[in-house]
Amino acid sequence: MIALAWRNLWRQGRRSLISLIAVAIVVLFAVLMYSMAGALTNGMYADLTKEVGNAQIHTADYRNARNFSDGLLDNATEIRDTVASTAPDAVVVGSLQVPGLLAGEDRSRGLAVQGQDWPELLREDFVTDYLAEGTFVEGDNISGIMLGQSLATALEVGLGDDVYVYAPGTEGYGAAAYTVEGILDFEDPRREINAAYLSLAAAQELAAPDALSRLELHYPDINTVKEDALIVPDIAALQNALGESTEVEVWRDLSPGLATMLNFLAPMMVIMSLIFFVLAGLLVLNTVYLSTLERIREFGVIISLGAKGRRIMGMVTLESLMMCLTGAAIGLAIGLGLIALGSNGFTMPGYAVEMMAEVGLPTVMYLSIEPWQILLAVGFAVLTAFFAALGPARMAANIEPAEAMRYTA
Amino acid sequence: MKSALLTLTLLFTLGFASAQEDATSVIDRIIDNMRGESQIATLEMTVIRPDDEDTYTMRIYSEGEEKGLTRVIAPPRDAGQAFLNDGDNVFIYNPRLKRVLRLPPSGQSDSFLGSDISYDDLAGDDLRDNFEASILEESEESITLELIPNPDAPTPYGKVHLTAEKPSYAPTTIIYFDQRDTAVKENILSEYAEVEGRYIPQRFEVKDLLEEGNMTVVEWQDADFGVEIPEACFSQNALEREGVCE
Repeated sequence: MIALAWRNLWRQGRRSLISLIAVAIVVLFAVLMYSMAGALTNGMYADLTKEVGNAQIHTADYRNARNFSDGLLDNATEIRDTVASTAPDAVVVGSLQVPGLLAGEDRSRGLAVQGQDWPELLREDFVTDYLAEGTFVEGDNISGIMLGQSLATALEVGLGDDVYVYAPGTEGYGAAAYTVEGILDFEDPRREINAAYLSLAAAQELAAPDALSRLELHYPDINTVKEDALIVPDIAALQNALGESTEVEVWRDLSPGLATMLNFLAPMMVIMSLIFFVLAGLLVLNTVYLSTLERIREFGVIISLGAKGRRIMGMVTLESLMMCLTGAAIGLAIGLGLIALGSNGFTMPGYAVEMMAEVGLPTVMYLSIEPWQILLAVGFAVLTAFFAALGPARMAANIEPAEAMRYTA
Repeated sequence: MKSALLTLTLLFTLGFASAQEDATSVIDRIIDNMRGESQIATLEMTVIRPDDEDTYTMRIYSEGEEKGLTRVIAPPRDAGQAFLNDGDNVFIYNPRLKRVLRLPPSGQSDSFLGSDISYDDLAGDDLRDNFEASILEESEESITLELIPNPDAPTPYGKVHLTAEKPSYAPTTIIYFDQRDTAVKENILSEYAEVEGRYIPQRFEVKDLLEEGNMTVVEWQDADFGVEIPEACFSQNALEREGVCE
């Protein structure tokens, strides 16, 4: 039966080949889209969590704090101890954001100056990725500042120049002068124009001795959205241990827009691939229908020899299925090969990479695909085969042998 | 028929023009009422928070609508800080930095010394220049204006309601609304001093209507109106050197 179906398939070889290639291309597109969605999701997740942590600890209702002091964690040491015992795998980063006025000799800009401590892991990445000139401002340096390149340009300052931070209404000195020691180059221009980094000690001296705006929890071994589920028990235990005066938020709370977008990304790709399969299905339908029409007499003979309608339907459907599965196998083989190549990371060519960075997309993407996504693509190909064969198969099954003998294509 | 239509049109046009002029002249009277030609005063500003209270003593020097210099004289931690309003510009002097910083326009709606007052509020002429006034309510005792910001006005507010007593036109309440029509800030003015026919408030209570318990009270300790203030007082040099204005 299979050999017969295969032979029938190639009676009009060119037509079948076109349909088979169409299915192969659609399966190839489908697996590449699924893997690209995975790469984007994991890339954006990795970029976001690298910058803000997998979770953050704030004072309760910190988003509505209208005064600088209302948003401060005054018991930071105690919280650090609780984190160390409850979430031992997390690398903890203390951060203090000081709203104020940053001024050069003649120009000034209102922004939030950030002070934070830098565990070795984050420090190395930060220096490699962003430090364009000068030196990194270490933890014990209370006189240096690092500025985004465009911020330095806006303030008309460079390495070695002094800048002045004025932060009235805070609990520290409220004003201080710093020397520009590092220039930072960020891909995101909005981040670069607002980037002013002090050491945590300097920021605390300026605005809030011993206090923090937030504690970030970075999990170095958690790199994908799927793995992120592993930290959920830690977060629940931490919130329980810290009580209601503090708020533990995961990256989905910190960036709800991105979380929603990522939730929609995979379903969107599935819907898009479904549309492609429908289009390929029309081509397959055409091939199977024409092939059935051309063999009306043949089917009449088979039926007159005693074949049941179900068997005729099976023959037509099997031909369609073999065509689609062969196409799917070819598309899958090429697609998985490309995914294997892209799994080590790739960058879009030319200006595309800059555009991606500007809109917050990851510049290096790592292709990956889940087994269920491969099954989904194959499943769509099988469904395409069935639906494309349905009409022609029923037509062939209902042929009257006497009429079939009179039929001329 | 034609002449009747023309008369009606004229009446309507004149009616609108008259109402517009009224609201504009009322806002002029209210603002002029609050401002003397010149003023030297000492005032105390108390920033009240649910769990904290900070008091600042300041010396202010103002000349008309355009120029004003405010110097913090207590507490010692903040003493020496000075703020110069010169037209649309705000300059800040901090003795720790020993420098004058120019506040960018984007920062002028920021909080002044952590209080509920913004740098824009210090300038004070914002309501007349940046808003279109219309009469919302009027009675024998008071008048309330609704002020809608001009399209290009640099203000975070969606509208402002300003109530003044009659016949003095001394303002009693200013309520600020955000763009969603929610009242966000209320300024209650009281304890008026009558100076040459003008009524000048000697106490401001600025309440944050979104955060219960947040309030800033400004009280005049002493004030001299119509005094001569040297032109040099309203310069960046005067920010750094005390004594130029006295």
